Order: sequence, then structure tokens, then C-alpha cells
Amino acid sequence: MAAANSAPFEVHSYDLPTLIRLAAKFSRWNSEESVSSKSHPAYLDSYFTALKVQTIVAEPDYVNRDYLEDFASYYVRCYGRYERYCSRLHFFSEAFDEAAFRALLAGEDGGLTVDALRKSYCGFIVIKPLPQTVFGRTCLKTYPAEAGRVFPVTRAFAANLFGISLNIPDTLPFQEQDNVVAACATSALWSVLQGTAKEFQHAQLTPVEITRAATELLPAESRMIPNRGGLSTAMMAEAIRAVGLEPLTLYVPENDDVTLRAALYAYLRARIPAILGVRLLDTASSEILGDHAVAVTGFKLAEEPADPPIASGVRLRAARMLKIYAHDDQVGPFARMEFDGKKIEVELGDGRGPVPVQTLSTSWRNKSGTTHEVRAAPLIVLVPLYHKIRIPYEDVIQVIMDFHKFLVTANLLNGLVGASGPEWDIHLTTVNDLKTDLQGCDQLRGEQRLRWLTQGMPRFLWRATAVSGTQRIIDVFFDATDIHTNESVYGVLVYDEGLDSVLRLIAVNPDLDALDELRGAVRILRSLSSASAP
Amino acid sequence: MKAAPKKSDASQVVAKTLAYLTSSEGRSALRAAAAESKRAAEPFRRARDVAAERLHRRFTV
Repeated sequence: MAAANSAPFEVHSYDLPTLIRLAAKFSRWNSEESVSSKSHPAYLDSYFTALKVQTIVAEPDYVNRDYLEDFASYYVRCYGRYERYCSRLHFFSEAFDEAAFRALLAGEDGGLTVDALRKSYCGFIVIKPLPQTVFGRTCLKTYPAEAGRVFPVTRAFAANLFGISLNIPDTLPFQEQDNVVAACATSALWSVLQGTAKEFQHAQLTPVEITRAATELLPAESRMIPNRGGLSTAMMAEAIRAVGLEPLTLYVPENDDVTLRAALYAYLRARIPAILGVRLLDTASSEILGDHAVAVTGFKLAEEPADPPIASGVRLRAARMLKIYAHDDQVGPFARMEFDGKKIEVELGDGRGPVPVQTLSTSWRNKSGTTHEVRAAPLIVLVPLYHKIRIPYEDVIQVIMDFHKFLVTANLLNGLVGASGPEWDIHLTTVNDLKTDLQGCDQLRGEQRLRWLTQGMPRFLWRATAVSGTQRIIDVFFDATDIHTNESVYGVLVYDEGLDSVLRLIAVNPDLDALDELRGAVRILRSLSSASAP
Repeated sequence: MKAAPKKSDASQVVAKTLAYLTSSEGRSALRAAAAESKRAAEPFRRARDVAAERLHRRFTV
């Protein structure tokens, strides 16, 4: 029996001082002052206020696999006596006291029920027994539902509290870097791989395993553990390969955040979280704080479509994105980063000197403790993809832009969409998600519906839907598992009978061969004329 | 919004559309549309060209 704490549980009413006191006490190395000087408690307090948390149940002795691996790999061989046991704090929106909880566990009537506990469960935080870095595996409910707020990558995670099974229906694990076996990039990648492990069924790496995998085939110039030097994009890509996924790295143009929003939207919709690498700048002092990596977990869309954001006049649904929610290990889970259109001169460290960059707001505090002064200049996006997702986003958007221009030039959308044209919703999807969506679509009926729901399809598809208001006009599907030299389109679903007839007649007309300017449009039209067209 | 052409009208719409698109005016409009489309998709294509400096830059904060 190595447990360091005698009481099997503690129950407390929630408030910020109590959270700080418990984090300090269970970390065993930190004073309340040192915990309260961190940025996490204030952020968590605002988060718990949004979740209406009222009660904390503490499990003083808790074995956490992620920490145990880090402990076994590093801390156990320190001369100092670091503990192998963590503690876990559970958060509930129901108010109850220790007597009621004790009665529930004892099978007595104390006014508290298992059902009430389950309904009011908001999640847990593991407290690591380490100096300074105390917030371990954290699974908290997302922000309450609100129009346009979407967390596609969250999953159900379970917890068991003294035999009571508790469920967090929508979360993605978060943890703070420990600065020893893990840096910020490790923590961000750990969160991202927690999501992809569930989606693509791969091994869940612990922070120390990620740091090792990142440098196994890409040796660093200096030691990686203790990890004070962080991870590069190339190193993170190696760690992604170590779990059998393929890394997709994208450069973010500094003068255009539509590309960033479009890419994040396209992959997040398929439940694939992404790493966003940024340069942090304190606008109050013009000091560059450094380069930082976060795990993007969700976004908020505006209720109204955006103006055409790109030169072609194509309106993208992704351009509605107002903010993203990111697991930022220096702030907390689901931290907001807003696309507020602020362009700032930033030295990006690439030898060009300061350049104007479209930046995002952050929840970081600068040295004077002020929030909203620290801005993030995006550098890269890194997406871990299942190996069969081969066709990239940029191939799809070119074809769709060509098709959109063809429809507009040929005046075929008149009467079907308003003056501002259709909005294109372009994202990666799966056969199951697609069929579930089509099954619930009132615009699809009869034989056409039967055909689309019962035909075999690739596991992963790119989907581009032209929408006007709440009405779908056209769906174009691409086989995402295909080879890029195959110029065929998987299928086209035209929701309007008249437009469908017109497009099918154009597709079989020999004059189509002459319209080679918009090659992507011809690809789509040809798929309507092929014998195998759905 | 006016109704989209029904099946009986479809052939007429197609003939008219293709006549326009294959005319010199239509070809010119298609060429301009193609140029716009290519220009608009350029940032998405360039996003794959990640400079080596960015690939090897450490995220340390």
C-alpha cells in the first residue's frame, strides 16, 4: 500500500480558492500561491462558471496511465522522491455534501442519487504530483450548446468513481506540458492523437512516448528528455507516422486567413483534430513570446454566410468561421482564438523582417497579467490522416471553383439561388456520416434516395454541397481514397429535377469537349454521363 | 425565386446554353472564369509548399 493519502475521498463546494487549494494540496509540491500564479486556474474558473459547476469530489489516490508512463520513464530514476500516484478531481453541477456522497456509496438514503450524479457530471482533472506543472489528463464537457458552436472532434469518455460509471459525452483530453518529458507541441499532439486513436483505432501514445517517437528517426542535435527545446513540425510528423497515420502539413499564408479556415473546417468536420503552430506576440510590448502549438478541437460559425472571400466569387461555408476552440496547454481546454481580422506586423523569423499578418486573438496573459494583448500569427497546420485519405483538399477546391464558375457563366443557377449565389460547404466525410445525413434529408426522395442510400461507397469521401438558405442545390462527391491522377468524380447529386435534367443533357452533348477552359467542371459533368453514375 | 426549368424545357435550355458557351462571347467568358478560378485556388495549392525553415522550427513556448 503506497497511497500517500488516507481519506478515500473529499467533497467540497466549488469555488476558485477551493480549486487552487486542492490542486496545491494534491500536487504535493506546490503552494497555493504558486498554483494561483499559473494561468490555468483563472481560465478553468471561467469555464466552470459556464458549466455551472457546484461540487468537487476528490479522489486522492488515482493511477493515471499517461503519468505512470512518464513516471516510469523519467521521474522514478530521479534522486528526489516523486510520487507515482496522482489525484483526480471530479466536477458536478449538482450541489451536495460529503455526508450525502458517503450515504450514496454506503447504499443509504442521503438525498443524492446515482442518476443525479451522472446527469450533473462535468468531467475530471488529474492532478500530477509534480512541481509547477500540475494539470494532467483533463476531460471536461464542452461549452454549453450555442448556435454555430461546433466541436466535431469530441468523443464520449468514461470515468469510474468508486463503482459509479460516469460519462462525458463530448470531450477531448487535455493536459498541461510538464516541461520535462513533454513540451507544448507534445501536449497538443497528445490531445490530437487521443481523438484520432478513437477515430482510426491506433495506439494511444503517452507524452513520453510521443517525444521519443518524434525523434526516433529524426535525431535532434541535443537531448530531447528533458524536453526543453520543444518539437518541430517535422518531429511531430514523425510521431504521427509512429501510430500509423500520415501527416499532412500546410503552410498558412500570412495575408489570408480563408485558407486556414477552409483547411481547418474541411478536416475538423471529419472529426480529425489538427495542430495549429503559431507565433505569439505581446502587442503591448511588441515582444515575440515564441512559437507555440495548440490542438484545434472546434469552431464557431456566423449565422449568416460570409461575403465572397476569394477572387472567384465562390462563397465558402468555412469563411463563416468566427473563432476556433483549441486545447492550449498554457491556457486550458477549449480556449477561444478569434478571427477578428486584426493584421499586425510580425517578424516571422524567416529572414524577411516584420510582415503584416492576419492574427487571431488568444486567452494568454502577458507579463502584466492582461488578457487579449497576446496575438497568434499562424505558421503551419498539421493534420494526422488515415493513410487511405489520399486526395488533398486543394485538388477538390480547384474542381469546385471551376464548376461554380461554369454554373454561373452558363446562367444555370438563376431561379435556384439568390443574387449572392450558392454557398459551398466543402469537407471530408465518411460513408457512414454521408449516408446518415442523406437518410435525414427531406429533399431526397423516391428511387434517387433509395439508390444513394443502398449503393456501396468508399470509406472516405470529399463532399462539396452547394446550398442556398436551407435548400441544397447540388452535392459533388470525390473518392478521397482514389489516386490523384484519376480525374473522375465519384458522384453528383442534383437536388433540383430541372437542373438535373439540364446538366445530364449538357454532359452527353459532344460540344462539351470544346469547353476545356474549366477542366474541373467538365470532370463533374462527365461523371453525370458515365454509365456508372449513381 | 423562379422555378428551375422542367424536363420538357431542358433540351431548349441546353441548346441555348451550349450555343452561348461555344460562341466567341461565351468562350471569352469561360476563359475569364477559368483564370479567376485558377487565381482563387492558388493559395490552397501553395499551402502544400511548406518551407524547410518552417518544418524544422521548434515550438517551444
